[in-house]
Amino acid sequence: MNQTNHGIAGLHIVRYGTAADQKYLAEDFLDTYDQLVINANMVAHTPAALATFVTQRTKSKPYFIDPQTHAFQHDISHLESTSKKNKSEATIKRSIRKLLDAYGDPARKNILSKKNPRPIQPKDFDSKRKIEEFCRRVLEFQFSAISKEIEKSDAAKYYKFLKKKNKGVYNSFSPSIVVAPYFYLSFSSYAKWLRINLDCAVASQEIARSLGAPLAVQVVLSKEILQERGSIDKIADYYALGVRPDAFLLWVDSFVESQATHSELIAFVQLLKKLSKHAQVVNLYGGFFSVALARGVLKGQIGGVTHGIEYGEDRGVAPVGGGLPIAKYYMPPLRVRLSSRNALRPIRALDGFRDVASFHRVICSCKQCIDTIAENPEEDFDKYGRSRPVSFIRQNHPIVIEYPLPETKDRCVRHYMWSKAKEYDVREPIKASINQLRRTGAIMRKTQGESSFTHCERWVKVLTSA
Amino acid sequence: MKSSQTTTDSRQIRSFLTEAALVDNAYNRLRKTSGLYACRAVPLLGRCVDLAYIQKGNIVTVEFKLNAWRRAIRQARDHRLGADLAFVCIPERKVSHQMREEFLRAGVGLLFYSKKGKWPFRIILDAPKSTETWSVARQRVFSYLHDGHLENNGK
Repeated sequence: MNQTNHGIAGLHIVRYGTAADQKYLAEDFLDTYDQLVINANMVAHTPAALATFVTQRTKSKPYFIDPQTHAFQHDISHLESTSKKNKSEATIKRSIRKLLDAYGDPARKNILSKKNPRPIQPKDFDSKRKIEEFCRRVLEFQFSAISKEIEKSDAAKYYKFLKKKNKGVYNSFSPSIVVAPYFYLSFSSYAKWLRINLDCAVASQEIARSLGAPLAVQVVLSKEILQERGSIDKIADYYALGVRPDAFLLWVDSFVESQATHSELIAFVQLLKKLSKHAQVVNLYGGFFSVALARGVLKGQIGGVTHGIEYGEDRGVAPVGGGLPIAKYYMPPLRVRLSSRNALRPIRALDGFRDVASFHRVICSCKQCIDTIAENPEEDFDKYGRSRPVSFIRQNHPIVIEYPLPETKDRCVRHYMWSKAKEYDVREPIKASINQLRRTGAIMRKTQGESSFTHCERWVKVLTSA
Repeated sequence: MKSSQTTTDSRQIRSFLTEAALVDNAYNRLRKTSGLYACRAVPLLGRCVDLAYIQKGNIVTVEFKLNAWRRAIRQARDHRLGADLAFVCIPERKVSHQMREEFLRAGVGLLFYSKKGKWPFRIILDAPKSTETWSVARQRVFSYLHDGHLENNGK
């Protein structure tokens, strides 16, 4: 097992998205983050590739697997393949099918039923035995999916040799923490699912102990519940009474920190405070606001904040369409990602285009920006937005869509990752960052209008009063 | 008498035309104007400009809308980053004081679509020259219009 604080290795957690992320996570940015989180469907889909990645390319970086059990309670269409091959007959995605094979019933038999396929419901967990067996399979999958692959690999003999020599490397292939099965709590049905979630957490405690792994309990809820003080208290108290996890993993459905109202931010902080009385909390989808809380007023209470490669600071529980791949520039003074079109005005307002030194002083001086903004900032900044226009006809009318060039995406990712590394870095004083946000918010209001980038003021207000 | 004719004209435009048809119609008439480089669907910093042309060295963009003029202003405001003059074109309608103010504040001009004549627009509010133009984006729009014009004319 890796050296972690009850399974959480540090504040900076990065979510593995696709195989394309590997080159960033394993190379330049390997030393910038503490831990990886990988979705179970990815592990089920390409276990061998992930085993190599986790054990060799990331040099055994601590990781944990999000079991994604909530996916089986939503409309089955979310689990179906949308590939052209299967257009005539909808089929469950291969990765999900593998996950269902690993997790078994009640998920498997209901979703793969030929007669009456349906999502799982609270009534499917109608006995203690069913809950325990389901939890065991879900936890064992997380615990052994990667190490099983290692045993099958060419490197197995080498690792066994190290194990014999008592080098302790062999054990590090297991996740640093296992996650109890969990289900989404919506406003209308949370009471029923909360009971199941708690039963799963209680059952998982014993199983985790037998595996020798710390246990995390994942709390996934709607923004509507977040607004209901009574519901938050009930949920937090309910978990606190029944289970003693090593960490809570929090995910508020589609919670975009920069778009959240003042009262939503306050409610979010209240929930973090409530849960953190019982165990450290990891925000599974968060941005600067969460990092600033974790490094400021909630220091020691928030154990980690997770983001993806360039995106993933928020996420909806039910999958939504992919949309167009737009490259965005992460604006450090505003702590949000903006298209190059939307970044121009704030950069000008902050006088970032005056000269190279100004850009590096007021906008960003990360390694990527030092490299990219080197001669004429106004012209060089284009490198963060270059695209390839593709014309086509839609409903007898010409349309043009701009696709970012691969090098544009690469620059944006690298700039984002360096910027994030700085945000999490304890050597960077967080108070100074919050003060800078306050100043930037004031400049934006003055130059861009009352309604522009108002999140700066909301964040500062909550971060300095929470 | 003239006023009631234009109102009828405006009603006809509204009832028979789609936004796309307005763009096509305006584009076909502009193409016949010599010395004018016009293109439909011009990429500009992630937006797709309905119609753009070069006139007397200025890049002019036009965003067409049948009704949602506020949305059109938001889009046209972004056109100012790559164009010299940005307009919104709508079928003729009453222009309220508030509407006029919003166009002025955004630095966007207002055109009424004109069904008759060679020139498809009637200027209601002139567009001020953009003070926000980003040279990189302007150059890209210029090249797109220039190349598109040559391609459309088989050169």
